Amino acid sequence: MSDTGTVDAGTIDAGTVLAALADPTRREVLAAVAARAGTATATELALELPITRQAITKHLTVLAEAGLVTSVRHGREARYRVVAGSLRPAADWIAHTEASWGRRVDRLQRHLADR
Amino acid sequence: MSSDGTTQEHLDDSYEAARFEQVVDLGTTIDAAWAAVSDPGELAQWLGTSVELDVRPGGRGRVVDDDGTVREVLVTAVDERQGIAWHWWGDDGELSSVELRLDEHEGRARLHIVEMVVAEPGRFDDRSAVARCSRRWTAATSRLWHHVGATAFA
Repeated sequence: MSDTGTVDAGTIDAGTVLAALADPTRREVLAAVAARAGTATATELALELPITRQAITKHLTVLAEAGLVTSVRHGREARYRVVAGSLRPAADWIAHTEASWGRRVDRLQRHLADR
Repeated sequence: MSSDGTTQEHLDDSYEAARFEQVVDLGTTIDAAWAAVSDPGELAQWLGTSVELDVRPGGRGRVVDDDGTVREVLVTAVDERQGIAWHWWGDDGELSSVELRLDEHEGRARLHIVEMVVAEPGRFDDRSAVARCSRRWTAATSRLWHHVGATAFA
């Protein structure tokens, strides 16, 4: 991952991203960062979300480990930014799953037609 | 799977990470469609290139996709003529749940397919976390998960 907001797809593990997104509160935190022009501190997020600053920091840490956000120190606090393209693994899972079920459904319909 | 046929109620699990849904008009009767999704011999005709499945709650099995992916399967629900649900996971450890639900529309069977990522098992080092992922499933399914499914993470 670079510090320019882009990401090397090869460095993102789909399972890690999906696991990070599995928690609804974490998705809410990620959405809140994205809504603030893609950058926010834990303190700023704590003012608008019904979650403690400490909990937000933990969620941001998981999001950062998954490559979904990156952080830059600003004085005593870290400012988090959404990493562009980091949701691609989740989108790839959906596309792969859609293609797999497409093939299964084709076989199912042929099977039913042949019965 | 809920008994009133409302898949959304059952599957609207807030711990999902990604979801795929599709509705297919099978152009056949419910009886024929139910046989296709519940009879192991018929499942073997379409679900994958190799299908071995014990179709009952708690039943285990293995499905090989046409791309070579091998998935271990745990059947979590079987509702006669209504649908079947299972968890499956591949070598990469990704765990997803699948629900195939049948209903009838204008005399023809429709198949509702829902697959969603429940968890990436390697991320969890305690089974309570896995149990939380399925907190909204039926009590029977949760018991299955604790007693049978957890072996997948041993």
